[in-house]
Amino acid sequence: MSDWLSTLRDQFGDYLTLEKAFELMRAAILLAVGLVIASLLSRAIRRLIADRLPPQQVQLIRRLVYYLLLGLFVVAGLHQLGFNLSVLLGAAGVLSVAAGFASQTSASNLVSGLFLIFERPFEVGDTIQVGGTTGEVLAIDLLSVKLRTFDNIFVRLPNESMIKSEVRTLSRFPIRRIDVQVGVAYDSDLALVRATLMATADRNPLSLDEPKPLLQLLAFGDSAINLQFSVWTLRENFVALKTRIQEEIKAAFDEAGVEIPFPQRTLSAGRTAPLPVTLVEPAASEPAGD
Amino acid sequence: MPDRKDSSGSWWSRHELAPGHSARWRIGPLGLWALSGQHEWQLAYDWDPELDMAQDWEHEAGAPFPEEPPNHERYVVGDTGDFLTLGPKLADRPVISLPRVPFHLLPEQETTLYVGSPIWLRLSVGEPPVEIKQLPTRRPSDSWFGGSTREGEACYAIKTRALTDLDKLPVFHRSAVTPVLIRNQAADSLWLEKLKLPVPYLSLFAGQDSRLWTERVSLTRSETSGMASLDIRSGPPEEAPGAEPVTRPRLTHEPNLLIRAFGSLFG
Repeated sequence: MSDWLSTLRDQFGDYLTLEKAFELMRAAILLAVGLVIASLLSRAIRRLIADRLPPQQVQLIRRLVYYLLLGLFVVAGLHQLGFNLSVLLGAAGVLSVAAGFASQTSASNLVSGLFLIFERPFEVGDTIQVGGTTGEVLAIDLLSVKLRTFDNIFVRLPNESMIKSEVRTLSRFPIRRIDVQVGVAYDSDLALVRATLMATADRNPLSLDEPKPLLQLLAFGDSAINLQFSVWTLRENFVALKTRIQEEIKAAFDEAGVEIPFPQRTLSAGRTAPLPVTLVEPAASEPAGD
Repeated sequence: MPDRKDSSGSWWSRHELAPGHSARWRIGPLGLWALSGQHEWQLAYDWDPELDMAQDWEHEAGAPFPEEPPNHERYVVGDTGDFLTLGPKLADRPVISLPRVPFHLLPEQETTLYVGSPIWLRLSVGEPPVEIKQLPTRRPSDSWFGGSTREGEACYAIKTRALTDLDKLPVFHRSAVTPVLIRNQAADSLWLEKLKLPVPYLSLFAGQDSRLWTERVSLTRSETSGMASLDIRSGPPEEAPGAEPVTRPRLTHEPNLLIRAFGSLFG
């Protein structure tokens, strides 16, 4: 053990000549200067572009500048120590190809993340819907997008899936439309239905006066005439109005005598005579059995 | 038992309510109750749909605070005095006036319309007054004014008679009157079915008859579009000589502002 240690000490002593010590010191100084310059320059660039670009792009550019500068100084430091950089870079190239094959998914997410950051389909704070998940965007990172759903669950969505699937940004435009689907009985007066619905929207201050509410007849359904009543509202009032307008439609229909029917079935005996129907009086009070 | 009931003059004023005392106000459909306490104020308010079109007001000093107060709010304050100040304020968004009967303004013609704007009640406590609440005396409908559903401006919408005759204008206590001079210098007639008034840029003045006024606004349309150059003449309008300033505008405007004032894509 002591022989091994003494051999190591001798070899280290042979290597660490005065010249080598100076080279090491120069490399260390280069690295320290690189750290300071990279930090200062990345901060200056952040200040310069902070007002012009969204925070994700600012953060990305800042990190790129920082690591690029730091990398240059590390390479210069290694060169100072006598490393053959062409060999090192060649090895790094082979290594990166190998790492690329090994981490295809991560690389795909990384590239997708760059697309997301520069395409800007949504920003931090927006509400988006991806597949069955709806939530507020907490962060757009290089590998994934983080959401907070409305039931307060943290969701991480890989960037690759965001690029491949349909993403709906619910908070992009300042106003939104609420489509209320309602069925009315076949014997309803449709003019009365229209007037009742329009008056309901008019009474609710959250329902926009312009664009005007819209009533569409969707289909003659099995049990009802199916209608769609669309009202517009400011984005921040969407949830409040969506609930309230349906309650108000129900109350207005009740008041106006418009029936919202249950599913109905009409029994028919075909070409034969109608089925005889006999009302049977309930039996007189029978003694309860034991 | 109410001590005193008042409904004459103007409703914007300062009241001293000793701890334990309460009062009630009604301005149009808005009912407001206030209860003073030791270093605190309690408020309750509601809008009566049956008084939706009411324009009068009343004050009952000593009216009891409701046992089940609607929209109950409590404000804890320091030793700032037992004063409650009620003041008027214009809306925080532009107001779109929809004339009940839209009309054409022919080319090279001008007219003055008297347009009403909804008033907000501004509540402040203590001395100097610290604002605690703003409430619309009647909640106007939200609306959207712009070229598309993507670009535009959130506004309020109200129906107006857009009178051209000042003598036919009743005294309203929950609306402010703006004389709007519309000049149509375009080659085609102007179909006026909606008019956007930038009320956050306007001040309020109280006339001799307790009517609220804003500055006179001029909208000049020189091209075949909905755009108009806006000019706000500072000071009370000439229709209300001697009117006293009551509130300052919420926003300051730049001179010769070009705004979209008439119609919109949806019109």
